[in-house]
Formats: sequence, C-alpha cells, structure tokens
Amino acid sequence: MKPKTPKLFAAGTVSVLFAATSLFLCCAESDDIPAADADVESELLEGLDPSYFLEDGLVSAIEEVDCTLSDGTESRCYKIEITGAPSDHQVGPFCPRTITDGADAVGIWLESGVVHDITGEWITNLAEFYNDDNWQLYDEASGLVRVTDTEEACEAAARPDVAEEYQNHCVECSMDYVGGGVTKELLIPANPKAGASASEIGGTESVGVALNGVAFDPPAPVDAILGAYTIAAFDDCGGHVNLVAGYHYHAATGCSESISQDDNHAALMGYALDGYAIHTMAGEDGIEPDDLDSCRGHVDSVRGYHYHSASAGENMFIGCFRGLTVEGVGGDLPGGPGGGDVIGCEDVADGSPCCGDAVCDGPETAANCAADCA
Amino acid sequence: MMTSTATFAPTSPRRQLRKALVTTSLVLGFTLGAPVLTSPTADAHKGHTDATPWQVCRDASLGDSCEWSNEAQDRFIGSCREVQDSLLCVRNRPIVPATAHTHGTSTRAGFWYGAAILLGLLGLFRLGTKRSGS
Repeated sequence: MKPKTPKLFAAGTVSVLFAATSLFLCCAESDDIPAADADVESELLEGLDPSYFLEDGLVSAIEEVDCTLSDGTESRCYKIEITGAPSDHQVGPFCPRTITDGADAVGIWLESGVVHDITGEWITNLAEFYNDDNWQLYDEASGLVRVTDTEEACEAAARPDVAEEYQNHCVECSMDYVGGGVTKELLIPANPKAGASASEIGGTESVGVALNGVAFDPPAPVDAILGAYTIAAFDDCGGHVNLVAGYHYHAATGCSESISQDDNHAALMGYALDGYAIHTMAGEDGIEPDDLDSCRGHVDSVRGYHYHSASAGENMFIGCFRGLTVEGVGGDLPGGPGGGDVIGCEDVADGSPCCGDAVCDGPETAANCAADCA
Repeated sequence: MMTSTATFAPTSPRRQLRKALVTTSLVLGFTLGAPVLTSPTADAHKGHTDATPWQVCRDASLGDSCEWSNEAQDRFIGSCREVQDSLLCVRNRPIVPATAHTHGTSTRAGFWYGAAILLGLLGLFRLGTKRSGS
C-alpha cells in the first residue's frame, strides 16, 4: 500500500497556508501606513481662477494685490471680498419647531462621521443618542422644540458659558441678525507656494472659501457645546450662522457651486487659504483617493497639488495647509470681518473665546488673542 | 490514544519527521483557525465605539497616527493635526465601512479558515484511519 503520510503532510501544510493567508486577508487592512506627504514644490499646474467664483457671492471683483506670505516672502495675492451669504441656495432651515417635523423642514447635525437629519423624532431621542438623560430639547406637554428664536437667545446660546435658560436648546440664528451676511476680505496667494512642511489650521477662523462666496470653517471641539445641551444646527448645505462669522460652512454636502472636471475627477468646490484648490471628496465614480497626505491633499498630472474635502459627517474640509498662507491669522486681513457688530473682549468673560479678531470658535489663548486682548 | 500510539510499528527518522510536520501543521491550522470560528468579529473595534476624532488625539502628539470608529463601526484612519488649538484626528485614508471589515472581510476570512479547518480535520481523519490500519 502506498504510504499516505505525504498526502497528510500536504493536507496539513495546505491548511496552515490557508490559515496564514486568511490571517493576512483578515488583518492586513488594519496596518496604518501613513500616506507620504506629496512633494508639491514644482507640482502646481494652476492656481486660483477668479472666474470660477459666482459674482453674486462677492462684494466686489476679485483683485490681485501685493501680500506677504507666512515665510516672509513678498508675493501676489487675490483679495476676495465675500458677501457672507450664499448666492446659489437659501439659508436654512435649521431646527425643527415640533417633535413631529420631518426631514424636509429641518437641517442636519454632524456626529461621528454621520449626517443626521434634525427631525423632531431625532430631537426626542437625543438622550439616548448621547447616552445622557439631561438632554431635553422639547417640551413634553406641547411637543414644541426649544429653539433660539431671537437674536438675544442666539447670542446667549453661542457663549461658552451658556446661561441655564438657554441650555437644552436647538440653536439657530437668522441672517437678519447679521444684516443679511457678514462681509469678509480674504487674501489668498495667486501662485500657491508649498511650505517646507505642512502648517496647522490652529485657531484660523476659516480654512478657505467656496466658489459661491461662503467661508469654509474648521470644526471646533464640541465638548463645550454639548456640555450645555445645545445643538448648533446646520442647514442641509452644512452651514449655519453665528453673530460674528455670519453664515459659513462646516461640511461639504454638495449644495454650493462646483466646477466639474473633464476627467471625472472630483469637482472643484473652492480654494484653501494657501491657494490650493479644494475638490469634493470623491470623483464621479464615488471613489475617494487613497493617497491623500495628512492635510487631505495630493498631486495629479492635471491639477497639480489639490485637496479633497472630508465627508460631510466629519464636519471638516481639510486637515492642514500644505502651502503658505498670508502672514497673519489664516490670511484674514487685519481688523476682522466687516459688517455686523463685532463682539469685543469687554463683552466676554475671562477664558471665553476672544472675538476681537473674529476668532470665536476656540478657546482663548495667547496665540489667537494676543493682539486684541493684551 | 496512548494505546494506539504504542501499537505503531517502528518508523524511519524521515517518516517520523514527516509525522511531526503533519502534527505541527494540523496544530497550527487549528490554532490559527479556532479564534476566528469562535469570534467571527475578532477584527471589530472593541472599546472604540464612543471615541470621537478629538478624543483619540487627546493624549497624542502632532502628526501621530490615529484611528477611530463610529457606532456603526466605520473606521476613520488618519493623523492628529492641530485644529482650533486642539488635536483632531484628520482622516486621510478612505473610510473603511463596517461592512467591509466586520462582515465582508470576516466572511471572507471565515470561509478560508473554515476551509483550512476542514482540510485539517480531513488530514486528522486520514491519519487516524492510517494508524488504525497499521
């Protein structure tokens, strides 16, 4: 009889190979291989194109002016004065009025990578959603949702030390409170220049601007917001209003003007403050690039270096600046935003966000408040 | 089993080596396969369900790799960057949907593990049969 041991050996070996292969298939994707930061020094193919902006979103025509970049070099920049109001879609709605309001009548909330419609039903489930029984944004007897429906309430609920009477509110502010829009001037390098390394967004108020003239703002830690049991609702376009910055975006939901690309690449939706283009997250095939650097940018042969926005649910556009911004805070011109009443340091308590320079979304630090709170 | 082993006829060193390899292979196959059979979601993220992109970078340094998962177990992988004076996990890899790593991959891995275990059992059965016949 022919010995069977070799067959058994083969079977055992194959079983181990199968197991090892399966182990690789199972766990290989958990390896966190950071994408290499792109060498963008000579990869710029095109800078900001003023003709892409919607005229109705601008206070005046975009001008080219002298400017100084963050490394001290003299350069040329585009001065973009935005109206602070979207010219291609309406603002709102934001909060539901009753616990029966459906998705069509309300805005959205962004949490953990997911976009949630702030329906009345969602409001009633907040305690479960956040696993905290103190959430109660509606009156159980009437079914009415508590909404900041006055300018005073809007301002009070936006403070870090939210008064008790404005806690447990869905926060929304009318564009009427900011005169229809907070105009703002941005300086963006006409010919983006890559930095030696990426620079942080830090306390920058905005990270870029959409082609419809609305600012892209970075996310803020939500501990303080949620600690007061308030939801600062966004409209379906991922924007909301505060008294200092006016209407601004926190997420790319596909509402604003965009320029499609001939090669089915993700559409151009705006520019970062360093002058590099920001495209939507995914191309027409729905696939997001897998070679983005830590700022969420990469290089291709058509566009050179450019960013891809994060998903709407992430409450984010880009992660840092690969290029140099204009000297100063995030490219903002000195003096803060125009239009509307700018809250001064005297109006806020110690430790509150400093607002004299329009940096109101983050904690007050020597870095972002030195100039006006010294 | 001891009795069965005692009845084996003397074998050559080469054959003993083969048997040792067979036994080792089977043991390894079972060792690698058993955890997956008993825990089909072994690659799911335990303890990360409530993590936020801010929380995962709270004790990290600028540029550190980071990863978080939401309640649906979608995975967000990136690095910690400074935003609003705090470190935030900025994703730069495509979102790994829960279905891809807790179902699709596990199902695929489970299939291969199952195949490996079946082959291992077959080998064990054939070995037992051979020993019984010796």
